[in-house]
Amino acid sequence: MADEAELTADQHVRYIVTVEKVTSAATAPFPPYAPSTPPSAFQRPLLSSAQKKDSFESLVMEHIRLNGAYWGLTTLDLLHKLHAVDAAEVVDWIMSCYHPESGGFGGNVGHDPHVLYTLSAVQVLCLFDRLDVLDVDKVADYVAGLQNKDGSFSGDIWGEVDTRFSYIALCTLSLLHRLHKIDVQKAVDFIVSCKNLDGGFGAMPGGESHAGQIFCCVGALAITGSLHHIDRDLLGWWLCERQCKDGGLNGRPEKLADVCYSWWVLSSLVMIDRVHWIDKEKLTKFILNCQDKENGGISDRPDNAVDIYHTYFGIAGLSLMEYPGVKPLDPAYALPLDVVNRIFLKK
Amino acid sequence: MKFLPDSAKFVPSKRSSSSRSIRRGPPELVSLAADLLPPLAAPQPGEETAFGRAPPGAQRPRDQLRRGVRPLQRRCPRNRLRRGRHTAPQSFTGSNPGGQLDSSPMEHAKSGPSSWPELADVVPVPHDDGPSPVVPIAYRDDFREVMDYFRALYFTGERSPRALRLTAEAIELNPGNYTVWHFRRLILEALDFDLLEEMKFVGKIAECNPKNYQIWHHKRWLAEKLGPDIANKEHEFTMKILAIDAKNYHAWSHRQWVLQALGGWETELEYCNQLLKEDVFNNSAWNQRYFVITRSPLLGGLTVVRDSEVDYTIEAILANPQNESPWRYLKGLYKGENNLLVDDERISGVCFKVLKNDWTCVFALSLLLDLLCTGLQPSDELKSTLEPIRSSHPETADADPATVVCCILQKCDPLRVNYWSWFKATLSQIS
Repeated sequence: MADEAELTADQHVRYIVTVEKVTSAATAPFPPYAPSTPPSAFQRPLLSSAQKKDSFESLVMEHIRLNGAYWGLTTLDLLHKLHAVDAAEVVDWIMSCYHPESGGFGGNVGHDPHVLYTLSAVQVLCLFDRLDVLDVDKVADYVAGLQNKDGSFSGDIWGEVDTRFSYIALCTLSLLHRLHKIDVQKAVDFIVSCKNLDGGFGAMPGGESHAGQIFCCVGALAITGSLHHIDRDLLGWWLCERQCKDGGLNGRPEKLADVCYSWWVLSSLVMIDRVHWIDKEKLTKFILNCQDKENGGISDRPDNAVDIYHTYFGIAGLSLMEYPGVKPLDPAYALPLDVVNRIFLKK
Repeated sequence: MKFLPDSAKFVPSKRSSSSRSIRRGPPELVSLAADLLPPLAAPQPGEETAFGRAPPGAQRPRDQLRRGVRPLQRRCPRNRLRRGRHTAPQSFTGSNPGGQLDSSPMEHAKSGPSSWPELADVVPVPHDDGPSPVVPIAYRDDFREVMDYFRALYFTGERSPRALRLTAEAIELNPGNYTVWHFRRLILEALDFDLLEEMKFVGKIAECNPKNYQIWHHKRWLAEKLGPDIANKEHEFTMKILAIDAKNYHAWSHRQWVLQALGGWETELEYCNQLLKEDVFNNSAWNQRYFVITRSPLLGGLTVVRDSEVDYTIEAILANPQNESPWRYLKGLYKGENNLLVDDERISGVCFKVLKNDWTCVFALSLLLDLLCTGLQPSDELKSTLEPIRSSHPETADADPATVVCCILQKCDPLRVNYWSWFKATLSQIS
C-alpha cells in the first residue's frame, strides 16, 4: 500500500493563524498564491473564516485563551513560522492578563491568576525572548508562595493540589532562574510519593498512573536533576505498553489511542532515554492520519474534528521523533530547543 | 470470588460509522495543564451502560480492546464541545434562602439577566480584550449577556444573592470558567450560604460535566468544610459517576481524597470487588484495590492481605490472561521483595498455566522473564512449558530459558521489539 502520509505544515499554519487571529488579513504569513493550491482557498479572506470559527467553542475557551496562545504559537515556532505574528502585540496582550498585585497571570483579560496561565505566559514570553517585560521576582514569588508544607503545589489561592502544579511551578521557576525560592527537595519528595507500583505517577499519592501525570512528574524530576528516583526500565516498559495496534498511544491500560499522548508518553520516554522502545514509524503514521489535510489542524484520532490542543501535541510528537521540517522540542520544558538553549546557555 | 468463566461471550459495543468526509463534532480547546484527562462520553441513547453491558469475554484480544470496542470510549472529550445547559428550568438551582428577590428561579431560567428585576440597576460590562486584542472573539448573544452582567458584579465585588444566582447561570453556560467559580466561593462565604444546598447544586452540574476540574475542586472545597458527615454522600456521588464511566479519573481522585480525609473505608474493598466483577479490565479499579490494601486502617496492611490477594489476582488472570492490570498488580504485591515473588510457587504456576494454553501471551512471558532474571530455578514444569516454543523455533534449541522467552517476545510483541531486544541484550550482561 502506498504511503500517502505527509505533514501538511502550511495548512496547519493557516489553521492556527485563522483560529488565533494573531494576524490581520493584510499580513498573511504565506505566499498569496501557490500553484498546487486552488485559488479559492486564498480568495476567502482570513477574517470571515475566523468569524466562522468564532462560534460557541471560542466562547467556552475564552478563560483559557493564554493556554491556546501557547499551543498555537509554539506550533508556529516548531514549523518555523513564528514570524507570522506580531511579537509586540502578543506581548502586550499577555501582559494585559497579568495581575501586578499577585504576580500571577489569568487565562485571559479579567480572569483570576492561576499557575496554569502563569506558565503559559512565561513560555510564550520565552518564545519571543521577552522575559524582560516581567517583574521576574514578583512572578516567581507568586509561584513559590503556592508551595505547601508537604512540598506539593496548589494551583492558586483556592488550594487545589495536583502533580500538574508541581511541574508547572518547577518549570516556571526554572525558566525564570528562581528555583532557589522554593524547597526543591520537598517538592521532589512529594512527587516521589506519587510513584506507583507500575513505575508510573498519578495526580496525588495513590492516584492511578496516567501518562499526563507521568509527564508532569518526570518533567519535574528532570528539571530538578532528580531522575535517579525513577526506575527507568520499569516506567519505560509501562510507557511503551501505551502503544496500540493502530500505532497511536493511549494514556492508561485498556484505553483508546489519542494524539495528545504522542506528547505525554513520548516526552517522558525521551527524558528517561527510552524512546527507542516504541515503534516510531507507526506512531508517525497515526499522527499524520489525524490531520485534516484540507483545512489544517490535527484531531485526537482519525476523522474527528481538529483543535489547537491536538494540533500542538501532534506536531510536538513529530518533533520528538525528529520529523523533517519540524524544529526540535525540549521534552522537559515543552519549548523549542533553541529557545531553551537561549535561556540556559546565555546566562 | 468468581470471575467470568471462559465461556462468557463478549458483546462488542455499538460504534457509529464514520465517513472520512465528515468530521465529528466541533472542536474544543482545553487547557494544556488544566485537563490532561480526556473525559469519556456518557453513554448515548441506545448504548448499553456499564451495568447493562454484557461482561467481556475471556479471550478478548488486546488489540481489539485497544481499537476501542468499549462503548464508553468514543471521542476524546477535549475534542467535544461541552455545552452547558442554558435555560432548562429544572437545572436552575440558584435558590437563595436569605435573598430579597421578587422573581422566582423558574422565571429567571426562561430569560437572560437583562430581564431579571433584581438586576435592573446593573450596567453590564462587556469583555475587554486588552489594549491590542490579539485574539478578539465574537460572542454569542445569550452567552455575552450573562457574562457582561457577571463582570459588572464581579468587578464591583458584590457578594449578594443576585450575584450568586448570576454565577449559577454563568456556570451552567460554561462550567470551565474558573473565575466564576472563584467568585461564587467568595459569595458563598460572605453569605454564609447553606453548603448542603450548594453541594446539591454542584452535584447536578457535575453529573452533566463529569470531567471538569473546577467542579470537582469545588466539591472538595465544600466537603472539607462539611466534614466527615458528608463522607457517605460523597461516596454515593462518586459511585453514581463511576457507574456511568468506571474510569473517570476525577471521580477516583475525589473518592480517594474523601476516604483519606473523611473516612468510609469499611466497604471500599467490596466496592472494588463489585467493579472488577463488572469489568475485570478496569485498571482504575485495580489501582483502587491497591490503594485500599495498602492504606486502609482496617485491613492491617499489604503483608497481612497479600496471600488472599495473590489468590484473587490469579483467579482474575486465569479468566482473562490478556488483561494487563492483574499481571502488574500481582507483581506489585511483592514489590521490593523479589525473592518472595520467586519463592511463591503460585506466581510461576500461573505463568506456566497460561502459557500451556497460549504460549504467545505477552504478559505471562514477561512475568516469567522477570522470575527467571530474579532466580527462578529450572524445573520440569519450566522445561515442559518452553518445549512447544523451542520446537517451533529451532534457533532457540540451545538457548537458556530467559533468552528463549525474549526471542518469543520479540516475535509476539513486534511493536515493542526494541524493548525485548534490549532485554535480551541485558541477559548476557547478567550471565
